[in-house]
Amino acid sequence: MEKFSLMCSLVLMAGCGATSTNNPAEPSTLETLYGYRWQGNVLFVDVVSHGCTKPQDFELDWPDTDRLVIKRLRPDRCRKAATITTLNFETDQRRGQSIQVINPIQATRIKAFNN
Amino acid sequence: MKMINSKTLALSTLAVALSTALPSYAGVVNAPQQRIIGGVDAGKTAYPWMVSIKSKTSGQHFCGASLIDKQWVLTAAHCLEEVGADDIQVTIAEYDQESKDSGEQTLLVSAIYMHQDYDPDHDIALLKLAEESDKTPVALADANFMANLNVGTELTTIGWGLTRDGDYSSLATILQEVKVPLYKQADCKINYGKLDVEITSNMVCAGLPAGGKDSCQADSGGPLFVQSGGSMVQLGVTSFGEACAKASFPGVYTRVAAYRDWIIKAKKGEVPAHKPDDQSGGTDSPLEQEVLGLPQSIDLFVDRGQQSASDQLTLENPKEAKANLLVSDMTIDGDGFSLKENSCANQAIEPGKSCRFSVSYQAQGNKSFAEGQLQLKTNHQTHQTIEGDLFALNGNAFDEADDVSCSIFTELNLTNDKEDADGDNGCDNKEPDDNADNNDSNDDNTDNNSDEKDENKSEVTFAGALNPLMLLGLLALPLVGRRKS
Repeated sequence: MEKFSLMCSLVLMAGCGATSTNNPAEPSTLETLYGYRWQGNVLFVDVVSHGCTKPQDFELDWPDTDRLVIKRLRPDRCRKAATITTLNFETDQRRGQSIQVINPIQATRIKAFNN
Repeated sequence: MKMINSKTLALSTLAVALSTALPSYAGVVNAPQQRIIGGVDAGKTAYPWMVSIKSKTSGQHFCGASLIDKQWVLTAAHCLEEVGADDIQVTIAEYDQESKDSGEQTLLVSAIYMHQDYDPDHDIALLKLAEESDKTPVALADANFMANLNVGTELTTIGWGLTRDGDYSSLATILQEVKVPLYKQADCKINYGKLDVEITSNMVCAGLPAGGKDSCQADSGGPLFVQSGGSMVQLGVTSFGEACAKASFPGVYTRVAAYRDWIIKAKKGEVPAHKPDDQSGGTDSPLEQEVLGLPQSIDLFVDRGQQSASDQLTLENPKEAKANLLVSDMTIDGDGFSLKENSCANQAIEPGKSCRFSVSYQAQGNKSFAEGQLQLKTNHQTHQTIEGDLFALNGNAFDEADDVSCSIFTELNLTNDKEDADGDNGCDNKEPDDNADNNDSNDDNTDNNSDEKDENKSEVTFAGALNPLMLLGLLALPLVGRRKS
């Protein structure tokens, strides 16, 4: 297929989610997400990385059956320039229902390269 | 919960993003007084073996490195985990990231050799250059050399990383250098042990016990070296640290002397070359998953001033297929979405051939976000129904300074009730003035360096987690926003 592109960031000014932090070098329990998507029972989450952010650094916490919080357990102390990394989590707790992801989401979006 | 894998978005993606962000960001131009962290501009020709690793697509620096042989560059493994040799290039003798220096040399990379046991110990990698460099390499320390170094020996680290901890707008344009003493290994181990971070014999620590001088984010892969007489000897590779320049937490560097044998083997091709997906295992990102050439999600953005957006897609019948591909039905659900220029419906597509169609989105009034679904029915043995998620964002629904995510947050009825006391999904905390040039009122937030502040009156210094420029700078980091010294 044509080089269909994913979403690109339209970086916008203003914060969202008053208690979050975007710096993965600092410990934070409520990670700012730069996007997320479900594909079946797999959750794809975009977060900032300095080169050492792994899925194992996060925990999926379910305060309710239909609400999800993504918590960073370990900061990324590496010293690469920041990039956005997509982490994949598989969970059997979705069971097809609609899930609210409670983490703050920072805006970026959306433009296809080939438009 | 099962964790699968990770994949970094292409820098080119962020580059496109930054083209939008740049006008706002460009307002922040004043240079801080402190460099790297606590350092100064390096001499222009002092380090001809210093290397900047850059995205080949965007040209943006993301890690440092050093030339150790005519065709070999030493860096940190974590810099390269999610890139391939084809994705990067190196600039040797780089000095000013914003201009082409007379002595610099940009070369392609033919292979990446990451230490096979990297995780997170053994944070070391080699790049084989596509051709030989004409620059003089730096010497590497061996065990004997290290044995003769005393705690407190003055070392130097250099790079283009952040000049203020946590301030993503403070990337250096000019190569920075800072003197950092060799730190007592036992103390480093004890201090990091309190954070549950293991300091191994493959690492070396450097920094002042009181902090204040250090490498920082975007310095990874760069050298830690000692100037001995007229020569320089590299003994470390910038790896990690607790924040930057923090008291009791020196910078941690990969101990080069521990990898002399590995480097020799890698140069002989006796260690496996790295490919970007080697270590991820698991499934691909959905961004790469396709069914008969079709993506599983389709994103459309209606530019401000426009009323529609579309994307052309191609349905492919693989050449190894044994039968024609028949598309019996194509439907699209979702207000505003439609199919156009459709050469696929009711067509027989021969093996190795393809057809095309477009998905279009017509803005629906002031509705900012829309979702839909595309569905194709085919005669394919395993893909009788192909479904794709459609997402559209209407740029007209947002002012320049609006946070799109907040609107999406609201439209999708997502709540942030634990974290947002005012109950409005956290979308009201915009800074009063997004224009960086005129935002002196924010200076008091967090910038404790009064000297620096006084000399940079027009500089915006946000602090705290939700600083809009910080967020902007974060995305911009690998791409723009370097301060001109």
